Amino acid sequence: MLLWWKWLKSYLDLSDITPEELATKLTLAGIEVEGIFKLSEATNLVVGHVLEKTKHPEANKLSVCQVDLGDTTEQIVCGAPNVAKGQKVVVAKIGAHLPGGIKIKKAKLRGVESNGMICSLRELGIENKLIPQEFQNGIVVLAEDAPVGANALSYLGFDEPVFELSLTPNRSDCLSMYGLIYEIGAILNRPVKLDKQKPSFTVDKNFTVQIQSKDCTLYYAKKVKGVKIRRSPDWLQSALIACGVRPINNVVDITNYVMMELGQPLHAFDLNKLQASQIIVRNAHNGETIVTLDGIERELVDTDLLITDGMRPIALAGVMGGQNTEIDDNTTDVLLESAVFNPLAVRNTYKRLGLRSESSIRFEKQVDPERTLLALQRAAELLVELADGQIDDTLAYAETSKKQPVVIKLPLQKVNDVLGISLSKEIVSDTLYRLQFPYELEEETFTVSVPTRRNDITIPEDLIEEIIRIHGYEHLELTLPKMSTSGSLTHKQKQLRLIKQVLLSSGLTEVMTYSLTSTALNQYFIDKAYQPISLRNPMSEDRSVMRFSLLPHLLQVVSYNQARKWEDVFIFEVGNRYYFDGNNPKEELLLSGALSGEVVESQWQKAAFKVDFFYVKGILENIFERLGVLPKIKFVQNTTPQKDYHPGKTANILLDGEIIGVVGAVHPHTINEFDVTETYVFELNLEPLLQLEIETLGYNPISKFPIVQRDIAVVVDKELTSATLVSAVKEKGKGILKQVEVFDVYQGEHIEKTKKSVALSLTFEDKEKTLTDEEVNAVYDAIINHLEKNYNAVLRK
Amino acid sequence: MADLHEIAKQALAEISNCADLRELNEVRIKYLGKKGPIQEAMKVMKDLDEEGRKALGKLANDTKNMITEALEAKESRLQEEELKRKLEAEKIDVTLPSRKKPLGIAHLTQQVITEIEDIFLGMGYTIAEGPEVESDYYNFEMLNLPKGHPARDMQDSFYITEDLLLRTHTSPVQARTMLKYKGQGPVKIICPGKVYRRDDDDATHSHQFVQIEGLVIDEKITMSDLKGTLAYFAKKMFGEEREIRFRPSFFPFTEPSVEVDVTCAKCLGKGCPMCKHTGYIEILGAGMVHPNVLRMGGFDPDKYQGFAFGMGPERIAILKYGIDDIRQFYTNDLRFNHQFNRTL
Repeated sequence: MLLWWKWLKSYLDLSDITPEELATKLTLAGIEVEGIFKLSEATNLVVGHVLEKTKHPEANKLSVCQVDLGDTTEQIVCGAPNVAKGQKVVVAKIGAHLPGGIKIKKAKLRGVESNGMICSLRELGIENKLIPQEFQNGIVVLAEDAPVGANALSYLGFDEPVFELSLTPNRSDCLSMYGLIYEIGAILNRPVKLDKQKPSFTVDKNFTVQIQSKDCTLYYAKKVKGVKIRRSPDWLQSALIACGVRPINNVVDITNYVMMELGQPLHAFDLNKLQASQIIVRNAHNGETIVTLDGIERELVDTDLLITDGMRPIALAGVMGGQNTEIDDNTTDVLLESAVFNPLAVRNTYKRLGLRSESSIRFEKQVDPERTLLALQRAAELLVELADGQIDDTLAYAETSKKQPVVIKLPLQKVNDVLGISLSKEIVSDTLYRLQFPYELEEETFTVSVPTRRNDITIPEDLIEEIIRIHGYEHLELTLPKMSTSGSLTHKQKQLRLIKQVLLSSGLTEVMTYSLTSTALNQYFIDKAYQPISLRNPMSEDRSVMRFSLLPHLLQVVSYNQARKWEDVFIFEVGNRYYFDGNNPKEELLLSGALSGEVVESQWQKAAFKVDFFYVKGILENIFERLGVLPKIKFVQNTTPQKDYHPGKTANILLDGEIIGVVGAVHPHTINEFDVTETYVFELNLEPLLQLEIETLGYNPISKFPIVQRDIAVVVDKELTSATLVSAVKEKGKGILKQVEVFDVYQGEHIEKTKKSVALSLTFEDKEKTLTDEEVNAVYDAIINHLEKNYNAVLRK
Repeated sequence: MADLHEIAKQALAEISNCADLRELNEVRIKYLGKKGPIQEAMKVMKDLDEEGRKALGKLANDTKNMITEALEAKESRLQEEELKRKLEAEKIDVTLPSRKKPLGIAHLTQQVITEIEDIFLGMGYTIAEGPEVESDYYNFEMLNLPKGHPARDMQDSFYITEDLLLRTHTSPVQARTMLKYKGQGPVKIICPGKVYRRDDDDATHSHQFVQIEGLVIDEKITMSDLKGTLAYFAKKMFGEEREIRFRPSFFPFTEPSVEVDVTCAKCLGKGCPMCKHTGYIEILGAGMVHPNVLRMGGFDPDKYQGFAFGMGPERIAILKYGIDDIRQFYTNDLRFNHQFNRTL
């Protein structure tokens, strides 16, 4: 919404306040001023009178004009096709500055001296879309009575500031000058006088209005005869331009002006184009059509509200008029419409047809029924004044329901209970008075009759907001809620923070990627067939479906950074996977990571190593250990993993025997598709991990007796996993085998191709006594025996 | 007899002249060995009487001890010197780069979330969570945004079905939490989470971003409590010298509703180019829970009052660090992420 200072000050005394001061006050009272601008920043402009116009001797398209500037008459060469003798025009004098850094100097144009410039509106800095059609390609021509020699910008009011207001959706009352005047009057605490007398009328006997839809509650129609279509006066055109509306002709301009003034959208029909002396308001039939003012045929549905003349549709109620009854240059008799339409109906129609307009947004936010008749009368009077129209006191109307005024009971106690301060009756009374909300005060309770213009106020809390915003939020105190609660993280939240800590200390950087992805990317790294959650209204194919896995986006991050020479990328993300389980959307919290390149500890010491499977496995084990679940975890070779994993370097991660994730090398094909170097990834479903009840940690007394270490090396079948071998050893540990570590794995010379040598370090300990050689040997021999017998192992000597 | 004195004198002189342990060892063998001068001098022992033998024996012993002591002292000194030389040779350039495994860095948004969470945990709040794929009912209707409400346009949504959408704010978590409490206060939660709006991504818009909302409900919660809470938060988050102000605003789920501004970091409210001469920077929206929302959440609005607030951690990070493009939060250019390797 645009607010023109010139218009505002015709209603309110603003002599003691600057626009900037007012802007701050408005913003702090909830009417946010986003910016203040002037319609034109030009200088040194005067109203000129074209006394003579002759053809330029050397140039066909130029005219040489003698222009009376009040104090002097200057010769000005003008290139506009519409310049003519006798016109009042805007002249930029020598020394004038125009927007865009143009400075007017004495000049010779094709040999003819020119002392100034006759300006177009565009040259003054007016936006194209606001310039009337007839001045689009030429200079602006002012009214005949424009005072020669006067400051042209002041004459037009273009030197007055315009406020750009950002209104919250509830404040539709501020979509009009009247509304803003009430509001600003309340904020500045100064009296407002607006003519609120409803005009009297008699019912037109020759014209009828019928309402046949619940979506229209009030409809007035009034005839204005004998109008002369012409340009509006300059003051009216300026007001419209300042409000962001392009002037068209006097009839249309008047309806727009009254809408800006009172907030009531109006429509003007060419009365003689109506096929019957009636208006019938009804819903459209499905499939019915109307050609709107813009020449487009619109197909309608039965929720659209139509204005008809009983024979055919003549307007889409509140949205756009019909071409068949459009005002044109030959119009003489006008039928003015002022009505109240259902906000939802207007909203649905304009949204479906994409016809948002100044009119439709006002209907959508509810118009004030108290101003419907007022607006009609105001427009009719302006038509008489500015278009030579003739009116009588008749009009036609129909009303199906009356809006009941909102009355709210507001105990003073309630105000202070909500705000937490102690406002007096006087302060509350004063703010209600400033707002011009009639009220009665009985005991300590206010009974407030909310004016119909403020349809946003329906409950006591709405009034409390009005009171404190006018009184000032700076009057609130700074207190804290008096309640005893204790703040703490849940087990799950704590564990999640812990996981992140381990990953961060392991050198992985946390990333956040989008949850929305493309169908193509959603084919990667999926462990089973998920039913996708797809958007009905995506902005692009790239963000059209919710992700099944975090890994595709993580690989994109690896690729993005490697392309920028950040080769060693270690990243993780915690985020959801989304899919449908039947009709139910499901979200599972995943922990995923991607590691690519080298861990470089020191360049000059050559302390760097390539990330491999076991490095990543180690990080995961650290997490499991910190979470207290390591004993429940197994890494199991997955020789037929999902296509994006290396079939030889991938493991499933099992928690109590259930798969909760995968860790492995990315398949070379996928590596190529994402354009990354060798990369290891993992993806864990955190839900089972974080839900797990963890056994409490107990203390184990430290043994006072020395440990005994024995190493063994056995040659076993190549396919025998290290995990199997270790658990076979442990099986025979007899309570004194404390630990088994693999410290070497060897294949090659001296070992058969189908075999490998595995070296294990065994640690024995007894908490009760010092172990003897005999005791250790007995267990040791049992282990060897077991391996030889059951695992085809051969002890290396 | 004089011989031994002479030998001792000579030995001590030689010991003192030794330059290293090898030389010292030679001196030791020379004087204390079986063929050394002391042994030689002892040969006359058999020709002496008992008294003389005793005297010679003592003298020889004393001489041996004296030489041994001198040898030991010298040896220890030489060892020290040798160690010193060795250590000097081992000198390193301590200014060479260290050997370390680089640490990872938490995502900036998560850092801010954690900071905010910790402030509110300290004030007795708990952290509530909820689904991102939400029903229209929880996302809008329970928050006083019935179907067709114009204010729904403030939050253009990604729809999945007629009824399901990506949540446009974390308020549905508040709605769900209220139902969980079954009309019994107090409620004191914050809800951080991802939200989605149908916006084109550009420097200031992102179709995905993070929100943290707070909700407090109890019998006597006032708007002054809201202001006090947010003033405390702003001081903890932005610095003790920062103040807040309320500006009236509109949200369908709160009444009264306010935008909350914090004094500009640079000018502290005086006005400067950074705050566009307003002295303040908008950081969050807040208000008193609308009675309709209380009622739909199962709380009796005649008995309970509450406040709610919502803020964007990315926006807070943008203000705090002067970041010029919100897309940086989702591009994960590691040259960006790694800049935030410490707090403050």
